[in-house]
Amino acid sequence: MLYSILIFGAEGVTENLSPEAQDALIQQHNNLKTRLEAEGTYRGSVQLMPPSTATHLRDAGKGTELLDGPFAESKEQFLGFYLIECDDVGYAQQAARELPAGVATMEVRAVAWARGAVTTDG
Amino acid sequence: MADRAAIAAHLAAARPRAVAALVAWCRDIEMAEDAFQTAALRAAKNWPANGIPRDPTAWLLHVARNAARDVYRQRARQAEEPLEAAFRLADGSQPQAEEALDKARFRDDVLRLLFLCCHPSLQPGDQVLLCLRHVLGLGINDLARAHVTSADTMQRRISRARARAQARLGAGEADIKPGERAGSIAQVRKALYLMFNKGYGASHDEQHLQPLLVREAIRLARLLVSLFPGEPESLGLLALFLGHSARMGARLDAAGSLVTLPDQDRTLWDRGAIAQAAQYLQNALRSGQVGPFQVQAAIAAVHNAAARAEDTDWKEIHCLYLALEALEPSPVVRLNRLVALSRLQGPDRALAELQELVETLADYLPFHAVYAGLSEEAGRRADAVRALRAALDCHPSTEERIFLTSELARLKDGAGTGRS
Repeated sequence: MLYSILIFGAEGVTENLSPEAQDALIQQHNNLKTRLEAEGTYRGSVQLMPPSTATHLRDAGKGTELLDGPFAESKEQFLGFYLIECDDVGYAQQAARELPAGVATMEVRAVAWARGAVTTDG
Repeated sequence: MADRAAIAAHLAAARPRAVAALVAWCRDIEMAEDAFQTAALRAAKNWPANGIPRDPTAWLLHVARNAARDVYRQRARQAEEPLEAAFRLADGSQPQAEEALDKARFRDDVLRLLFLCCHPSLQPGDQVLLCLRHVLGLGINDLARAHVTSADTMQRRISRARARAQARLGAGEADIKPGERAGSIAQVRKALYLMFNKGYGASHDEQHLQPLLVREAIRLARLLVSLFPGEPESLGLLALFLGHSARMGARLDAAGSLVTLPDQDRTLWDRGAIAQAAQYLQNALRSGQVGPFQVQAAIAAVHNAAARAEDTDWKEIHCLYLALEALEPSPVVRLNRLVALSRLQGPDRALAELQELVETLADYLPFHAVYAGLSEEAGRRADAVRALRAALDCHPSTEERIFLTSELARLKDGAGTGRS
């Protein structure tokens, strides 16, 4: 089974960490990646650029329209994700626990279907 | 359990919106600042045990408003005024009890605070200080250290600037009507551009200011972009900042001398910042409303796209400078265009055109540096030496002086004249 750990946080909070705290945060991510790789369960991870770089596609009635990024809100934004291949959701939840929680919240969700560099085909 | 670093980051991220909403509410910058401080202290006590609230800004705003109300009540008691009179605000209205955190209003509150701090009636240096102090919340001690002055002097200077801004607020000059929003955003961009340039091109002995101003100008530009993502020139400004700051790590060598763009070790450039700059610029250009910041960001992007200096697309850069000259003619832009021209056609024609700028740019160090470089390329060594001497008369920063002096020594040695 392929599991994802989705990472959410308020825009700009991570950038407001001191350089040392940012390094510590990166170290936590690297530690998890190293452990998952050693156990053969790591399938990839993605950090997204700030939400303000995003463009949105929406059906405007006359066809799909390209809109500018979301207005800044205090609610949490999607920042990035991990993909982990394992049989037990508890394993993925434990991995999520090892990520920095103070500046982000994590959501563990099973992947229904994936093709390409990562695939759900055995 | 939330750790202190995370709490500090949340406080810093929530601050511009919270303080802006407080200023809009009580129409008093100092009172808003004090109320936010109280709320931040309460958060530092409360959050480690109870966790960071889902909406830190709303939490802080709620606590800060209650703190401000207490101050109003105390004042009313001292003056023996009825409480209602104390609650009556500068514009004669009563403060709203618990208004919903309306997002559109939030955005305009932050813009109003930014505009107030960047008000055209304030000195550029004071605009920068007010932004750093009241929008981003930098401490007096940090600001004093960066400006090499005492905390007392810094406190007095900020108080004076704040009093001037407060007067503008009282006169209603910071109220932004929907039709004037674009103009206010443009004024804020102008102030941020000055802040960034002051940091990036720190002269004399202001190196200590450099990283602070560059970093904070980027933070403010990010804030502006996240509040008003549809403004192509704001996106261009952020792209420009990121594109230039990406090279910060390569601008000085081990000896502390300035390394010019062609000689920089490009592996030291921040690829993440360059990629982000490219993304913001693409989004900006999609609007079809080109402006000077977007063109400058595009020029930085062309430089950043070259893996080696000799791969630089000078034809594209020359075209972009022509566009910039058409949008915003200035001798400095022309100077930069002539540098691009010399890369395309050799030094002679550029040198001839540079003659027309001699008087206007006589006090501008880069003019003489460019003149020296092109003269040497054209084999006119005596002219190059003269231009380097002129550059040294233009109050170079320490790094620039080291660079110019070593260039001068190199030229003289190469000419076989030895040192006089």
